[in-house]
Amino acid sequence: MSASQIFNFFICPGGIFAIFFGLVLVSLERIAVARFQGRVGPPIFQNIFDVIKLITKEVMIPKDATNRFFFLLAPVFGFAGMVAAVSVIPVAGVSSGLGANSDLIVLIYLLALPAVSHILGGSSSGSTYSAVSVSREVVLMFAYEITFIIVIFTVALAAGNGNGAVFSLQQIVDYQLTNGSFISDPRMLPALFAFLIFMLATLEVPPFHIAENDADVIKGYLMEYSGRPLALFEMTHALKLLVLITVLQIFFFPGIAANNPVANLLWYMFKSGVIVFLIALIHACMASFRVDQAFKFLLTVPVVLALASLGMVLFL
Amino acid sequence: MKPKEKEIKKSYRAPIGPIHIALEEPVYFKLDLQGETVKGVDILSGFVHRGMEALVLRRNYLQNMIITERTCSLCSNNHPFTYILAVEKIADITPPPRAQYLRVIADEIKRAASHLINISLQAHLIGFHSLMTQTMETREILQDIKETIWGNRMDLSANTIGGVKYDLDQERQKYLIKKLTQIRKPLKRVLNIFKTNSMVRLRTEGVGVIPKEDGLRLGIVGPCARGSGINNDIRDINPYAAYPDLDFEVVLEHGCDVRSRTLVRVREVYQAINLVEQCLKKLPDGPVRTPNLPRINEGEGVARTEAPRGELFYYVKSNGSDKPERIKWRVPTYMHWEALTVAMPGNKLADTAVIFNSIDPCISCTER
Amino acid sequence: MLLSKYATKSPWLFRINTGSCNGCDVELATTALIPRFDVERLGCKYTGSPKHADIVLITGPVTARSENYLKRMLVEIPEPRVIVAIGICAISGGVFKDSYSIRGPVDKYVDVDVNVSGCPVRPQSILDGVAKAIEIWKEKIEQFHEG
Ligand code: SF4
Repeated sequence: MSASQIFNFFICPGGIFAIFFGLVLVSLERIAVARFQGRVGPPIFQNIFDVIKLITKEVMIPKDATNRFFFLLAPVFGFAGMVAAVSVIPVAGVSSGLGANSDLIVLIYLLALPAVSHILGGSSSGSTYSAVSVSREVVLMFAYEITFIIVIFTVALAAGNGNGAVFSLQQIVDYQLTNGSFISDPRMLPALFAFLIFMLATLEVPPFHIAENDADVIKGYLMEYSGRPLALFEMTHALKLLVLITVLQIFFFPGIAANNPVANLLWYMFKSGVIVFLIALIHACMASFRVDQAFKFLLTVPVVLALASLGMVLFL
Repeated sequence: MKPKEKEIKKSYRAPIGPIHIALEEPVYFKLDLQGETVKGVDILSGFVHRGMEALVLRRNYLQNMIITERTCSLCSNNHPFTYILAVEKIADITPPPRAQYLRVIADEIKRAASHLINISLQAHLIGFHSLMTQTMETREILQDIKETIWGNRMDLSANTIGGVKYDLDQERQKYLIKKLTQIRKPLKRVLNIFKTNSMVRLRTEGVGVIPKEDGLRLGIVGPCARGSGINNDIRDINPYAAYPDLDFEVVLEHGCDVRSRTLVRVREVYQAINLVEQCLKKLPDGPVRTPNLPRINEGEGVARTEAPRGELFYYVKSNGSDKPERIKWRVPTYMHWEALTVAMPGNKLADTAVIFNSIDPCISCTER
Repeated sequence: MLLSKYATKSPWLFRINTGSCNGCDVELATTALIPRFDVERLGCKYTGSPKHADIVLITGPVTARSENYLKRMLVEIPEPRVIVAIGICAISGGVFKDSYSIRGPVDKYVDVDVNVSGCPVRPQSILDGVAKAIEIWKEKIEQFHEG
């Protein structure tokens, strides 16, 4: 590992920067939603304060936890997965990530880890709410992963441009930097929408605020967590948001601002902010599905959109 | 496709409550679930039992106006109001006409505020947070009215035996009219969202159905009954105070589901505003209460009014002393408990809170 | 201490209703939700799980039936925490004081840090109470980490 790779992994854009920026993005989303509702909203560093606060709190392990070891392991599991994911993905014009040939496949696995950690933690915490919420998460996961995989194939094939599929994130970025972003390619637009829906579903933003819907399962799988494990979950969520936003940019608009890493980093942050804003807009003007409705929706609309793109990429 | 049933075959019991963020008040449900589908409900209650029917016997008639108000702050005007109507029947007091109109004004403002809270909780439970905040913000205009005119945001203490405790001078009337015109616009927006938004429809249509026959059998009242097409609006079928002189139409919806109950409430908010405006136009001059302290003779009296949640019934028995011998009240939510066993089974777990809220439960009234 | 300074910017609120008349609860909801008061701008967030709570808002006079639930809930709330009694009922029992089914007031069960009075309390005084609770919470965090 070269010095620059270590820097990329620990400081920027992975590691510390990613956690920090991810948390700010989560707060940004909260602020945007609050503003859409006419409120002021929390300060911009709110989620960082939340994490600091949680570190000062007592850690409680529920008496009826079915498995104390998994209960405490689960948050670490998801967090580690997301830290790895951050280091795998390149940021256009800033770092090249892992640079391996098929890191896209690795990403599919890594992105499933937070959900798996929810399932692991929720089912070992021994609370009914967690159990219900976990069963919902499983249902949704089956539904949205299909979309994700189809979108990935579409993008990989489009980046291969007739010569098979490209599963290297850096090559996908490079292809778009030379041949124009996929967002300007009408064949890819349905896939873009499908990916957006997938993002909302994984992030559990309305209309997919289901597995931790406070109207029935309260906090769901997070119900029994407190203190540091909860802080890990919060950070995992922030990193997940960041990873998804970055992947969205890699897939569809990796354009860079200049030939300067700092400027590119700022440009990347700006784009991320805009995407968060979009998510907040959807969050603010939507009600939530019921789990069965969401399942049906996720199996039809985004899948059809993604398949349409795939077909067009293959045959046009 | 029924994915959940494959995952969890066995049926299990899920507790909801007693302290649950989605419920305004503590109540304990035991749901029999199969996957996510509700098979049966069991309701454990008594968490808000404060022994009020015993407490009121230890207070005199005037003190009881305060304590009945604390039965429930959402319908806090109707409790003392109905109690006072019953006492007035015993003491044979007729309040002056101006007081009758002022009573209706207080009543309708409270009704509108209570309905708006229920609607906004409804929006919250289907996950529509912006709609909830907007509805709450609309309600805040009514809260302002209450605080300016009666001096408290929830407990108005508007009524007293033989009249009302407040008066509306020219300035306050103007203020009231101004605020009421102000509320119309946001209200219209909210109503439109409830009527047309497809996500809202998806979550509320066909959910928690109480068919008309079951409604009649269980004796449901208020907006719940009107949502099932049953007219038992006490203001219409047995008018009291100034309602006989006012002109209004009973709101009826025929969907029998959560959506039609919500729509009834939204439309009744409009109706309430209309009624207040009518009252202000017709408001007669004169005193607002009978001059002397009442003397309550031996006797019994009953009264019923239309509270925001439905028919409220008070029975008062007096033995000639300054304290009542027995006060008994029957509240609307009591009948709606039973209606839940019709409305809930067959729905999804995610809808239980929505259905529960749609009967506009007032647990603190029911358990007192 | 730096830690307590930043930690206190994120108070999570948890509400326990021990048999109130709704008045105080509705006012709490109003304070939380509507744009005019908006507690989120103080960093507050309502949470549904007692395990996440920092500031506990208790309403109601503690009825016989909810007594056990209150006790159980209080055990589940991690230290350092601040208890706020909302409304006259929670502070003294209010109009229900000498009833047979009232076991309260709240400070029989737990040390109450802040009393917010009113029947019902006004949103403004709730905000004031929360602000006071944050001050107390800061001291508690420091104590918690020293001893
Ligand atoms: S203090 Fe007053 S308003 Fe609050 S719960 Fe008690 S009786 Fe109700």
